[in-house]
Amino acid sequence: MAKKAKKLKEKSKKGRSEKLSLKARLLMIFIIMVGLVFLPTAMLLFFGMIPSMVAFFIGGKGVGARASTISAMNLAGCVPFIFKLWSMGNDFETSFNIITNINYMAIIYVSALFGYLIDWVMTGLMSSFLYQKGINRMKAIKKRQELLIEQWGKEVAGVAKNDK
Amino acid sequence: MSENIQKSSLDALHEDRIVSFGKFMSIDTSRRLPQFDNGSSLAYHAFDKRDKLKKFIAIVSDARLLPRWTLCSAYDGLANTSLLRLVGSGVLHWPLTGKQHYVFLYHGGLGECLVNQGKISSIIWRHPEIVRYFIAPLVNILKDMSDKNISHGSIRPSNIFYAGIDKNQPIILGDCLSAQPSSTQPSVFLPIDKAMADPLGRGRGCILDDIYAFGVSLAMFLRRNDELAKLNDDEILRRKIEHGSYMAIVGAERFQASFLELLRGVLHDDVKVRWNLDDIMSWLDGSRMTPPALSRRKKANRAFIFQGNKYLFPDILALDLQKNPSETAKIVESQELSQWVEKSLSDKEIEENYNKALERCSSRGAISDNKDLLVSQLSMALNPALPIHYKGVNFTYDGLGGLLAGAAYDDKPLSLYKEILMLNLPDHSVSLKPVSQNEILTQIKIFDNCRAFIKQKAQGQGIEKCIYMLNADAPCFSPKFKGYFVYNDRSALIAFENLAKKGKETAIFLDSHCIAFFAVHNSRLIESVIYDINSSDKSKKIAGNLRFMAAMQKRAKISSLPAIANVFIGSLSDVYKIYNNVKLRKQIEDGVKAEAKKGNLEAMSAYIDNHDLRSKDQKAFELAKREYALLQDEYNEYNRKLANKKTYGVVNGHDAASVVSWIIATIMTIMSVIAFLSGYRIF
Repeated sequence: MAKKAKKLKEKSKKGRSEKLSLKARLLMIFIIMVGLVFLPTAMLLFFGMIPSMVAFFIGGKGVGARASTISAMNLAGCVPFIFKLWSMGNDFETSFNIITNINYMAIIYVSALFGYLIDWVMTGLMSSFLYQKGINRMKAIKKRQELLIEQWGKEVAGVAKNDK
Repeated sequence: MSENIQKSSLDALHEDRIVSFGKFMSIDTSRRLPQFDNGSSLAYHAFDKRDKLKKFIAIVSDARLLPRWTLCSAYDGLANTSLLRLVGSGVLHWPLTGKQHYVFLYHGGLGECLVNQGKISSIIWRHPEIVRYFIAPLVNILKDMSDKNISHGSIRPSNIFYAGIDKNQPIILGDCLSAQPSSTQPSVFLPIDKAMADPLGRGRGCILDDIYAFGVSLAMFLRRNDELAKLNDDEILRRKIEHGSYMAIVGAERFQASFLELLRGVLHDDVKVRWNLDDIMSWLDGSRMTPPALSRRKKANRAFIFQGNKYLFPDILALDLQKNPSETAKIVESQELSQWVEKSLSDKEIEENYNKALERCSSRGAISDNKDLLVSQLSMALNPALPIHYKGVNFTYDGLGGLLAGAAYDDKPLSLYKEILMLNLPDHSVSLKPVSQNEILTQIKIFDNCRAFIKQKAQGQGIEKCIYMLNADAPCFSPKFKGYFVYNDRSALIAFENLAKKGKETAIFLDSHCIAFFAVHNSRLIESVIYDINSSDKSKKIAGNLRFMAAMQKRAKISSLPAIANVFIGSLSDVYKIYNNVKLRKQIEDGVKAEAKKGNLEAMSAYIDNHDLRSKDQKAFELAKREYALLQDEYNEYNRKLANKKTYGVVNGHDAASVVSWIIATIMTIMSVIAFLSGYRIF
């Protein structure tokens, strides 16, 4: 019976992941379609967003959030050059010029690096803050438990009267 | 009245020879009144402090005789001028013995006794005087006592008194309360079964026993010779068995025919034929009564030879079998006795009883291994009138309680009595007696209960409970109460208080005897605490003891028992732990200590047994326990998570960074859009 339940659970989990991959696949197809329609922009974005793609593909805990942080800043760095491309006719040549311009690409990649910095600083700050909060909570718990023992004796902690 | 005296008797003063009894009475320990003694219960002169001319008789009872304190109020209610008038009763510390005794105080001023033991009456009354001054008053007393279901049990000429110096007035019957019925009677005044029983094994007594004693007393009062003087008790008894009581007592005495008629009626050995009170009343009224025929004894057509003696009568053989258990076993095993019973005796009833007796013995194993049981069963079968005889004790079926109480008083082992009950000897005896079916069933039910108690192991059960169950007059025989006469709540508390003052008590006051005694006399109270008292948890035991003592204090209306309270204070530290809240526990402890100083056990117990408070405390404790456990879980969780400082909060940090990043990126994008729309070129 338990085995059957476990099997069903695994099956449903599998189904869900399959659904997600399907969604992802559809999204990918949509992006490719859009990319084909706006090919110069897509090309710019492809090369501009390389740091984000790297962040996505490099494993590690909290990779999604970190990649999201980097992507946000990376995208913000790409936006002025997309406008530039669009203002100059949105053609392959302009796109290629931008991609091959080392200064432009440096600006885009520095913005991505800035995203990484945000992630590093914020993670450190949050971690220290939450750690301290946890320590304080533990102290508060101990204090409350001591108060309970003071009020009710050691029995409140589940110590039998004879074990005292 | 008696209750008042009983209360104030506790304050008895000891001034040289004079002992105060109650508020107004005093007993002179140096002035004995031996004529009013009842066995080893001794009589002393007593007087009223307000009027020393008023004479009283104080009978200081012997606790071993089990004074009948339960009858005091019923006796007090007897409005018969020929009975000693009870003025008061209660427990008193008697300086001559250094022990507590139960004392009965009667009105005094009586004349001498009718006939001294073994003497001939000096007074010569004619028939009308004998009837008017002796028979009628005695019969009236018996009628009144019978109406209240009281047996006198001490009717004998030496306990019957002239009312004063003038002997020509109705007699006064002496004390009967200071000893169990028949326990102080010389055997001549007793029917055969009671005469053969040990003094305390003679049972509750009944009106027919009193009528018999009245008959013997009348015969002794009337006689002019003492034919029995040269016979000892055993010979008198044998003569009674062989010739019947009437013939044995009256013998060759010459009495008036009408008295002979009365004596023949009241001295008949068969209780079914013996005259009852109505018959005697009819005789007093002058009706011509047909005296019952003397009973015919069962006689065998061939003598049975036992120990060189010839026996034609099974009742006499039964007596002698008791003296030789080994020989009895031999004649049973050789079938000699069986053949005699079957072929020579020709009595279906005896034969049936004999066979049943043998069956009972053989069911317990080889006959030669159960000689005592064999003798006991055979003697009952061959002579059902005999009392139960087993391993040297003799008692009637209702006399086991008295015998058991006597053994407990003497600190003798009680295993013999357990054995007697487990062998169903009293049951077999009662079923052979000429008593009503109702009486048989009632008695067997009582014995069944006793056997059930014996099998139980809990405190207050066992043979101890049988003592108090079978004899309501038995005081508490707890070893703690040596020298005390404990018969009710008040006397128990006062004894405990004295013991506590001497430092001889622990907080577990109630032992097996105390529990058994109160289980019989105050079952409701003991039932409410029996679970705690029998608990293996010492604190529960102490709490149960305190609750019981507090309830007794309330019932006895004793305001202060500081020594008992002090003993409890020293042992309650664990009891307070029934309360979980430390602060509340302290409050309770302070309250209990304050009440202990006042000696108020009731208030101490109320502090500890406050059920509402305990219930609230318990509920709050459960909540606190749950809270503690939840906090502990939370603490453990934090402890686990914070163990790796490097990873703790990283995920949250990434999330926060993502949010911040998206906000900045959005601002930057908006700025780029604005710049683009406004035609400003950033690059």
